[in-house]
Amino acid sequence: MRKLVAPASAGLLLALLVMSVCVASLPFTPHEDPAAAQETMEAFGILTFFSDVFRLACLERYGSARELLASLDEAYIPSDLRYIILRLANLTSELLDVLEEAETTLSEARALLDQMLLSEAKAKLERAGFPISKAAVLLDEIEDAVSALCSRLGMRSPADNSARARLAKLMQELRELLDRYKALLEELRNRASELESGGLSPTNLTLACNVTRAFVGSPVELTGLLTSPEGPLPGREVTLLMDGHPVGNATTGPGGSYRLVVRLSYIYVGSVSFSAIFAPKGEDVQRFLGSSSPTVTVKLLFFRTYVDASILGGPHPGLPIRVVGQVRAENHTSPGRRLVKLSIDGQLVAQGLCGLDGAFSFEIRLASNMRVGAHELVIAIEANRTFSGTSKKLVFQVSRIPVDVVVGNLGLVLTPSKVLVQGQASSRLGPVASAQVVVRIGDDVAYAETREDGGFVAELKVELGPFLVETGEVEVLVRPREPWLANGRASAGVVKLNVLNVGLLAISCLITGTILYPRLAPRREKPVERVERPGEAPLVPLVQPSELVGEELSPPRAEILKAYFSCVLLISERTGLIMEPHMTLREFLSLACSRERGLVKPFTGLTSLAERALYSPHEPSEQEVREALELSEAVRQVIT
Amino acid sequence: MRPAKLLATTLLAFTCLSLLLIWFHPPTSDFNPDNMFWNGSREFVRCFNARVLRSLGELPDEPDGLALVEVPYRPFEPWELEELTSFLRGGGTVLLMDDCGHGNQVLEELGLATRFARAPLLDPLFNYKNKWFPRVSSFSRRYLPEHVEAVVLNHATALVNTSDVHVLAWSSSFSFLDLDGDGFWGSGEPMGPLPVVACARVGDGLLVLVSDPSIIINSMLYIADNKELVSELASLKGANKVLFDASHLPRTSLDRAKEVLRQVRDLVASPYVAPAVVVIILAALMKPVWSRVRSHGA
Repeated sequence: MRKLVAPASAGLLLALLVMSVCVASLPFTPHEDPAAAQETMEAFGILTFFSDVFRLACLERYGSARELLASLDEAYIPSDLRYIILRLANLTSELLDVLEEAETTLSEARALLDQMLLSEAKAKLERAGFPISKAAVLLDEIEDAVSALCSRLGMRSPADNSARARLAKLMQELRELLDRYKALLEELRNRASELESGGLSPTNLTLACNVTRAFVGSPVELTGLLTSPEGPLPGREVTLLMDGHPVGNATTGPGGSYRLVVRLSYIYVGSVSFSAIFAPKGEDVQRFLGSSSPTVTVKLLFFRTYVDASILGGPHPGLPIRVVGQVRAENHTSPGRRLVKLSIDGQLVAQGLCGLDGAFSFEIRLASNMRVGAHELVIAIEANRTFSGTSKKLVFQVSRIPVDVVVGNLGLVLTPSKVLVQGQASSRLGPVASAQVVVRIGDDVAYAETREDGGFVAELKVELGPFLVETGEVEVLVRPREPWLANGRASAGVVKLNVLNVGLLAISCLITGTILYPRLAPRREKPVERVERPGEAPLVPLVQPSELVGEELSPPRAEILKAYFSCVLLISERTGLIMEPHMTLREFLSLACSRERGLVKPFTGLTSLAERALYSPHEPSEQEVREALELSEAVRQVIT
Repeated sequence: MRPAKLLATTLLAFTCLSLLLIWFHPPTSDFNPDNMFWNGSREFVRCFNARVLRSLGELPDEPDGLALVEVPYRPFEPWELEELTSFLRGGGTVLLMDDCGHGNQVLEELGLATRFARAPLLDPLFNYKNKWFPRVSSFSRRYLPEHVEAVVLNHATALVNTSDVHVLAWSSSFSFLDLDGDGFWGSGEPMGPLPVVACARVGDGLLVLVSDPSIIINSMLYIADNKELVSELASLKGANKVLFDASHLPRTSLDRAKEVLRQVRDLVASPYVAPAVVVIILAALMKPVWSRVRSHGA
């Protein structure tokens, strides 16, 4: 039976362990450990991505294609594929650049040819050939990279194969686009050659400005002369451009000269450039080539504006802040009354004119639900004629004002009882009134509200707990109504004393004492009584066994045991110790020695001899009998 | 020792050992608020100072300012749906985070057309390690601030029929719903962007739908901006206290055994049962002494 218990226990334990760690089987996988997840990448995703990029390129939406390509930074790419994929992305980015360059250059060349500006168009056409050739080379490299990527990833599903086929189709479309560019380049070159060999007279256009520097908004006079080898060309229309954008047309006079007054824009940059072009129209198309003038630069003058600003007061939700500052202008010029706009996190919150001296001050009340943390305040000064605009960013931290909570010391709490928790809530603005107060001791919760002076009293009903004594904390949370105040917290130690358990403990102690007292306390008095009444009944049977045993034993054994039991009887009389029927000799020795230390040596020896006499197969010697008698005498001397 | 006595002693010892093992063995079930391993949600509870509810009956009467996180992996009883609806209509916020559980039961009860698709959302390109961890980086800035830049899901699904909710986040355009479960995109399977987070007003409250509850497990909470997203969603309506319903989480046999032990402990620890237990134990301990005194007296 014993042999079976151990394996059975072990088996049951094992079964329990297996059962305990077994996870309830869900019909689906809710998640997997991200730390242990395997890094994988599939061809479908990455090929679809590049297909989308190439599709946009085929539509000549190079900007969108570039944006999509940039989003590859957010894609997860395993380290072993990172090089190939990033190289493919770089090649694609280069391809987009050269395709866009080719498209732009060809468009510009076409526009120049339309304006009969032959030399400018020829320069563009020369430049257009290079990106087209480079795009062809890049497309070959991209195809190689895609093949390498596909072989590394493996085509494991029909979706992968369809994505690969789609990509190949789009690359073919890109090649067709390149062919179109090549054809256009060839066509434009032919047009340029035709113009060149058409016997058209070249024209010459000059341009001058009456000033080299001028304030923004002021007028400038642009003049020039349009001529051909045959002489001045009167009555022709000349277009004037400022920074490449047309600003007006002028018609040449009888001497081929033209004049146009242009008002400079209110743009606050270092300079603007002017140029003029002559594009033949009507019958002139058959006679003259177009021409463009050299560029003329005019330096722009304006007063730079500066702004200094600061925030007064701590920014707290629902409370106002004051923004003060000063608008200044370059060279100590008076800035005048300028429009100041203030916005927080992109939202316009205030605007107004500054003083004549440039000083401004605005009070802005922050939203009561404003997020705690960093925010951006932008102070923008609008440009005003010859004064440039400016702006300044200030980052400020929105915080809530801390609330200090003081709680009275509770110390010892008897449970169950009602406890009054008193305290005070205040901030640097003063007492916190009408705030919600939540008081908690363990699972017991009470609510209160602060008075006008910030004080509060919460009556908390503390329930009985399972323990006699429990230490815990009284936690107080103050939740102000004002959005600019933070929640205040305080805690204090508390000791809970369970009255019911104290009562139970007292009853237990009483019962224990009642049971143990008759057994322990009165026995100390008994030895005296037993000495006075030696013939008391309970003691007589105790010595009887020794006599009975002695009669059956050999004389030496009987002598030793007689000496021993006479000592036992004496010790019983003197100390009140009783040799119970179940006691061994050694147990009695232990009891006797604990009561009378002087007995240790002689009674131990005598007990040892008595044990040998009782249990040893060897007959005691005369010497041992004498020794027993001597020890018995020694015991008598000690005990009396 | 007699065999019967030996067997009884062994069984008693074994029972005590088993109870101790059950009591002290850490919980391992998914989303368990006491589970400290990768699939538990102890970190979420600690981080958000969330109060764990063992039953929807523990929902407070004043739901204003409270956000309840609900992972419905076990079906709802009719009374539970009523409690949930009442909490919502009373002004509470409920974050219903589900993928293949019983979230649609709640949506049906609320009369919304939106559903959890219950099919895996895979993203073979924008992901974390593999396609089962879609990376979401497209958010409605009307509801979610700029600092929530990216969220990583884990074995998620998507929301469908979202005509009656405001969508707050979408998966990438390379993601797809794997309807046939083969792990690959097939023709007819919806491609991204697909809604993964949405919200809708219900009465005075706000229902927020998240198509993956796994973003709150210990191993996912601090990946990308998952924690920030949960924080923002919980406080969309200004809630300042988070509740976490543990009564609809998946349970293991260990959980059930722990629950029984906890109930027994609570029963024994109650102020009315504890004294009786103390008296019984005291009486049992005093019995030998009492019998000895009686025999001695006799």
